[in-house]
Amino acid sequence: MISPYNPFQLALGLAVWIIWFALMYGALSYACEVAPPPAEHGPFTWINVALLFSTLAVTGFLLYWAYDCWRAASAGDRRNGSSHRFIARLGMGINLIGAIATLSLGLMAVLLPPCL
Amino acid sequence: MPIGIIFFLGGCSGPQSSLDPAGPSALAIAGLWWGMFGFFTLVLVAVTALWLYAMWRKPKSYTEGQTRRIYHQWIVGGGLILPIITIAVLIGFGIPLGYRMLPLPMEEPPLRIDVTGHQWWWEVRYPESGAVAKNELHLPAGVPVDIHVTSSDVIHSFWVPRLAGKIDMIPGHINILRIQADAPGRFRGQCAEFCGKGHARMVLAVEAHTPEAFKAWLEAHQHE
Amino acid sequence: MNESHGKDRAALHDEFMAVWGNPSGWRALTIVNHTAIGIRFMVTGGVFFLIGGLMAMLMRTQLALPEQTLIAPKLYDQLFTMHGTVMMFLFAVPILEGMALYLVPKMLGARDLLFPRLSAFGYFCYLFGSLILMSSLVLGIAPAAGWFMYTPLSNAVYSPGPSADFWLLGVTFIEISAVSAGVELVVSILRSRTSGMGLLHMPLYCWYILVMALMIVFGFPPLILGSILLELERSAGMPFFDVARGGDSILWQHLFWLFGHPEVYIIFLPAAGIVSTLLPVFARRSIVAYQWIVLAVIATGFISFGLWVHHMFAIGIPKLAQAFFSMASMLIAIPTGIQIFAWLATLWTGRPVYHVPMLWLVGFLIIFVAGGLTGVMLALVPFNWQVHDTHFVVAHMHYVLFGGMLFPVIAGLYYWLPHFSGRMPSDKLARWGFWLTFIGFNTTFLVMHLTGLLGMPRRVYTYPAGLGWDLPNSLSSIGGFITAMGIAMVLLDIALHFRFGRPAGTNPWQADTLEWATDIPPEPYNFISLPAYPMRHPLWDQPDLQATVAEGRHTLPEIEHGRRETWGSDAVTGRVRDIIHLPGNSWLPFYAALALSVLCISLLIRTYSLALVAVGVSLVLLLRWSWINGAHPLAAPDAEVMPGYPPLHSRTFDSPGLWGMVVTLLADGALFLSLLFGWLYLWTVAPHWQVPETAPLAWMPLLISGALLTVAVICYIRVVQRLREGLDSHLRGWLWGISVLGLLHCGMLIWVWADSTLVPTQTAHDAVISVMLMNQLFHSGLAVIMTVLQAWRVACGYVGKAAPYELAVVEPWWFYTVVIFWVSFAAIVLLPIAWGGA
Repeated sequence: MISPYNPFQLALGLAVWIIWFALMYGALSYACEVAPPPAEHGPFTWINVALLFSTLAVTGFLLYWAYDCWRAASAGDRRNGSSHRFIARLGMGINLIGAIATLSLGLMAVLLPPCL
Repeated sequence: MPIGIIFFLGGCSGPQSSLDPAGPSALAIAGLWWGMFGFFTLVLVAVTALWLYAMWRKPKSYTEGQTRRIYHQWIVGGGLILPIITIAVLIGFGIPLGYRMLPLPMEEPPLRIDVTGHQWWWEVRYPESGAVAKNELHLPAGVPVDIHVTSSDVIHSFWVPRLAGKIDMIPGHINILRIQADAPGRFRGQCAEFCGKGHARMVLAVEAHTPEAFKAWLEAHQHE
Repeated sequence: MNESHGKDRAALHDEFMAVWGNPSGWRALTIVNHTAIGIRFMVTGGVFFLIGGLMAMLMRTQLALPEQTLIAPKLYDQLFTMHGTVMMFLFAVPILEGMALYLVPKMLGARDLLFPRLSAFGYFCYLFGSLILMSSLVLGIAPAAGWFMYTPLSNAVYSPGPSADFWLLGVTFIEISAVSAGVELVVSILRSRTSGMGLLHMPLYCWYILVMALMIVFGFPPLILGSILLELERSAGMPFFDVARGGDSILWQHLFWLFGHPEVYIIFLPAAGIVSTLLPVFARRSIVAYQWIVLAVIATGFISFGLWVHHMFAIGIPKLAQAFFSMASMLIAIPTGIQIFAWLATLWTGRPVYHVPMLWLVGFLIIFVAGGLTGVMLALVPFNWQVHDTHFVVAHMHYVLFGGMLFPVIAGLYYWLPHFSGRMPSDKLARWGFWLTFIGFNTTFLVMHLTGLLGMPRRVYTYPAGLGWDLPNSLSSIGGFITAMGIAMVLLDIALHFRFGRPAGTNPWQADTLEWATDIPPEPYNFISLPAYPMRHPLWDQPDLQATVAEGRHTLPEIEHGRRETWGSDAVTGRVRDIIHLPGNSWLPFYAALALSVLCISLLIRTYSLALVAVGVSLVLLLRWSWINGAHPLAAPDAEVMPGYPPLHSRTFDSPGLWGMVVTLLADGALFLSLLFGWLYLWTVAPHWQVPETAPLAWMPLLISGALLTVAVICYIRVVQRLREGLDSHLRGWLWGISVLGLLHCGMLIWVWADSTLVPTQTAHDAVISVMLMNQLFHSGLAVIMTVLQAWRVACGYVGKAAPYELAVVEPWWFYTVVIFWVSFAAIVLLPIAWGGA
């Protein structure tokens, strides 16, 4: 697992979000093209369930990473003190924002049918 | 204030005004607009007032800890809580509202009208009766109608603001917009996607009839 | 390192000028210095702003009253197309880049940007591209399909003649300039901060620019790809966007807005960076919540890539997908809110003083918050269906761009004016300028929201009376002219201040950042000695820094060696790792840009033989450019460093060149991903997508070609690995061997292509495959050429154990080439099999 002091933490959380978003949008378009569920089912279709599942999984990961960074930031690092703490603290924020963004987008799948 | 005065001066009516709704979709959107307008004006005034007050009040000395507490409060309050609540409320209203505007399946399928965009005119066809019209759209009042739109050349956009929002007319694709006029009357529609030199003149005359008058119109235009 | 140097300031200055000085006369075209290039960008951008503004005035005159016939519809279409294009590509991005090029090295305590010739090249590309684009307006054949160039309106059928080609080629040319500036800024910010300046000490402006530059790197390639595809469709008949032949016009919209939405934040972020720089200076305290702001800036950068579809809510995509983008669009309010309230808290806890730049910042706040709020409204799908493509959007967009970009830029202009000229602007004229602009702007655009709600669509050259649009349009036009007067007042003020302004002295605003520790106006070398200062506010902590810097009392004050040097530091901690020696003035960037503009013009007039010559000449020039590098005697005559100093970067493996290569490949990768997206998109969505019965390419030779490439790359990686271990025996032989392998791979690939059944003008399917093959051949071919050159340089003694860095620079290119080969292979050969030949 990537260290909470690694500078890539400054991009990781939101990069995961944008990749998840792109894949999900692509998969949704594809699913609606090949196997659109009937519109009468409303939001209770296999597509929505799959979307929600991926949402919760990604959100969980991001929250865990945020927690990891938070722990590292409050523990500190003796050698590279301030620079490392700075990265870990920002990393926590980025992962957290990523989690919020993932969750808030994914929750849309509760409200709407997939292909209409 | 100034925007209020201007609204007073200009009024909100007009044959193509989205603020003068004549159908359920347009009415819902107009309501949405007034709600957002009121709340966001409040936000704008509050932020501006805070900013000006912060600049012109007598400066105070703060300790490091006080400063930290102040900015945490500001940022969490204004930068997190305010937008998150706003977003939640907007989405909560907007999504179901938009959902109801969709061409959802109905017990009895609504009347279908095919509209094809051309540079720079509208071809209107009634597939069930075979009627055809050019640059004018006739529909029965009081019932939903599904407009199936496409284009024969470039992208156009079907838009009758007093009845509903717009939908693009794209070559090779068919989009469906459900509209409804609450009462008989005349409305103005206009192409909303830039489509070349004649874009400004691509106007659609829309008329909603009583069901009987509509039936009569259809019969009169069947064999064109 | 801190002892007095024993020479006086004037003598030091003369010695530095002998190395860093700018020539005059014709030779000024050879200047690569970031201060000069930055000013050129800003001045050129300013001129285009006036031209764009003039077009706006013409349009406002036409729309002032209903049914006017001052301007014919065709000209009106050209005007709004060019207004948008000029303001976005020729004004907003270049002027912000120019500002960044000018300021960033000074704020970082560096002497120049890390690829000085690239800055000059970028400027000339921008200048020539703009001139080509503007010439179309003079010739009366300007593009008239809107700045968004939607197909099919912009294709050869509905926009015959060269008008749209001007747009596609000119803008692509300008985008090369933007991407090169992006690469340069990213690497300079990460690798050339002065000794000890960690990421956490970096001035906020540089954080904003870092994110902006990375956004350019990822955001511009989709449009570059789109433009290439559309140009291929127009000139070679390859039907990417033609529905009848298996393309789809919506693909263009995706590619355009994949660029177009990040573009808005590419423009907004640097402007917000100006706000974050100025505000603490005038609030007389450091910015509060530094980390929150950094977080908000990074978040803005990312989120802005996830909301491009909100420009396409009316095209009929599923509501759920719209809801995703609606949500993402609203999320951006959070980082924006964080910044606004951090600024507010800075003011609240500070002791604000009043100067002209503050006035523009207040104007910014009001207008930008209003624009942001209407932006949230527009993100709401049902409301968007109603006001999309109306004057409401025109108003919103101008609130965001005029308020969010122009106001901070003018604030910044006033703030840094003493830095440019050494003189202060007049207070009185400046106030007139502000109030006229502010009032005029709001008169124009506040009313325009209403015009849009009353149903007036965008991009109409006139409107009939009696729809309620007459009065608001007249008001907007009047406001437009008041704005123009305000801008004129600002220009007058700036023009007059060069003559009548009182001398600024040092640090006139009592600012905290290092750009005020240079001479005012700055000398080309910026700093005689580089302040090693691990603090966020160097000038507040050490008010006499400017004097001690000029006396050579800080680090790296040696110049006897005749090299242009600056610190190369660790990307995170800012600890010094090497000394970066920079190239001097050169004609090559100018000539290379000139050759490329000949290419651009020859493509416009469809004289392909001339285009081929131009490609050849550009290639030779660019290779010559790469030749004068590293251990070449013209680049570093002398590799000796003072005892105790770190090595020169060309003697290490981790040079800025490597960083530049990696960042360039990120842009390249974004382009490739866009192409891949296009392929998958058309495959799933295009209404008349056609897949041929038999596979168009013979997969076995393709596989062999790939195997050859893979072996070449493995060998190359091995060579660099050995070099790292200090082994350089048979280096030249290895490099020649790798080149031969690469050449064989290219030959196989060409053979496969020639032998294929592809008819790229017939179906979009074949057209996309052809572009993938072209892309592969370009990368493989360039890899071979670079490796041959390296072998040659080994023979000349420029590359080897002592100066290994160039081999490490080429390594990622090989790696990238093999990755895209196998991804393309999967997309072209494996995907159809997996799809079951459907």
